[in-house]
Parts: sequence; structure tokens; C-alpha cells
Amino acid sequence: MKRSTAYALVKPAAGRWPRGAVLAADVLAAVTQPLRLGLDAEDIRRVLPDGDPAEVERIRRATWRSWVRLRAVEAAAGAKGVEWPYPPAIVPPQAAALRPPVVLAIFHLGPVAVLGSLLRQLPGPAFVLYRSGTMRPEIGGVLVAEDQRLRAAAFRGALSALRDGQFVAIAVDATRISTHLDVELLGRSVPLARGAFALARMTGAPIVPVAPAWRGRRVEFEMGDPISSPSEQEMASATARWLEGFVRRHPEELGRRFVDSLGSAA
Amino acid sequence: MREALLGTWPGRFSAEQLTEAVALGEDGLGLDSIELVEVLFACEEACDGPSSAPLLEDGPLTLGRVLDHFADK
Repeated sequence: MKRSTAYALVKPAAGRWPRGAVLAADVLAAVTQPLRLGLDAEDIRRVLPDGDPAEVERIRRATWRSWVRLRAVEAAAGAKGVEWPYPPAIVPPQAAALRPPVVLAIFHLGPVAVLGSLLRQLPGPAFVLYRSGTMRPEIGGVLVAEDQRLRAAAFRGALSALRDGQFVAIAVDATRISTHLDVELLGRSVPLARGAFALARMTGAPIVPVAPAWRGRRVEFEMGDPISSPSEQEMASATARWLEGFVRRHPEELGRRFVDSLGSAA
Repeated sequence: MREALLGTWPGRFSAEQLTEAVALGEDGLGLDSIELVEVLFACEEACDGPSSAPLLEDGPLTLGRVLDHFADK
């Protein structure tokens, strides 16, 4: 069974029974565990080379469950009568204390499609720059295109939002980066997209790294302390330190895009 | 505009490169999307002028077009 087949199986169930989407995903993930889907052990060792075989196997199983859950959540998003984003997320107390403008640095880890649940609980409007369609448009924001002029327009929109006192959420790990900053992450040099850090420098807004993790069948966001510096490189390095801690705490939230963003260099 | 380009990135461009026909982006001077926005915002602030957003909506982003945009207002 391919991953696409698994998605085809979970989609109708999640669409018909959206509030049970995560449970349905768990059942499917458990049934398909013998097929050894999810991240390869080799991929996991690229990120966490010290893991013993039992731990790597546990993480591999968990990455498969997380992947199926995310697909189920996305499928449920299209169902009638479901308030998107679903499921509602647990947001850390410090989120309520944030005062915009703030740049939220996000990553391709865990159920990032539920980001809107965090944004709705922030004390101010939020603007999202995103590349894929996994986040529903009502979250607000702009799709970042391949064309350079459109990318610049998206960046300009984010800059204006910050100057208007809004939150801006933007991914910093990416496999397609036009301009980047190299940081030390998980024992290697990794490029992070420069956009978030340039926005912070140009506006004086702090960077706040944030990422979601499954907690039972709910999603809980973890948030770092605000990072401020006139140096984009210093902000990027501090963000990478927080990110490394998150990955070590929640290796089950690893996904293909994040692993690929690390590159192959050890 | 020319001063903004020469001042923000000293030594990166020569004055001879900065013709009105030259594109600012990757097909011309080689500014990336962040740098494009930085220089356009610098122009807005220097001129206390109009938003640069229309420049990014359509048409080629050449130095001449940017100069016209801010000169017209």
C-alpha cells in the first residue's frame, strides 16, 4: 500500500465523520503498521543518529501515525459543519501575552495545518505566508509563488502587516529557498529561509518560534521565547537552537519535507 | 533610487549598470525578492511617496519604471 492509497482510504471516512477523523486515522495507522510506512529508519538516523534501534522503530511508527492523522485532519476540513481548523489546538499561555508586531517562525513539523487554531487565539490579527494549500484561506494570508515578483509582493504584504501591528507567520525551513542563512542544526550546517529574519530586522519585531505536536488526539503548540537582535544571523541561530530542542523532544513529528530541508550533509 | 541602490549595497553595482532599462530582479541587477522590497520601501520612505505595491502587481520591474512611479506622485 502506498501513502496515496492510505490517504484515499482515510479521506472518505474523515469527510463523513470529521469529529472522529483523528480516531479513524489512528485505526488506519495501526492496521497498516506492518507495511512499514512513514519515515525510513535511515531518515530518522540522519536526524537523530544516536537513537537505538527500538527508539528509531518507535519514532518510525509514530511518524506514520502523525502523517495519517494530518491527512485525516485535512480531509475533515472540507466537511460541512466542522469549524476549521479542527481539531482545536492547545495554545501555550505565553501566546496571550504576545504583543504584535511579532514574526512567528513556523516549520514543516507535525500537524502544521492546524496553525489557524493558534492564530485565532492570538491577541491580534495574523497574516500567513504559505506555499501549499493545506491551510484554508480563511486563516488569512498570501500564497507564496515561484515567480520572483509575486514572492516580493508576498513579502511586501507581510512587511506591511507587521508595520500595521499584526502577527506574521512564515516558514523558515524549506527545500526551495531563494535566499537563506546557514545555521548549525542537529550537528550540521543547514540553510534557513531568510524571510522571517529579514522581516524581523526591518521592523524590529521579535521572532517567536512555534511548532505543533500531537498530545493524545489533540494538538498542542510549543512556543519559544521572543528573539530580538539587529542581526539576522543571530536570530536565525537562536531559532535553530529552539528548533533542535523541539525536534529532540518530539521526533515523532518529523516529516519528509523537514528531513529533506536538512540536506544530506552530516 | 540610484542612490538607494548604490548606498545600500556599496560596490555591488556600477553607476553604468543603472540604466532605466535594467531590471532590478534576478533577470537584471540580481536583487532577490527581499532586496527588491527593501529598496522599494526605501524609496517610499525617502519620497514620502506612494505605495510601491502596484509596481509588484504587473509589468517589468525596471529601474525606469520605479523612477517614473515615484516621480509621478
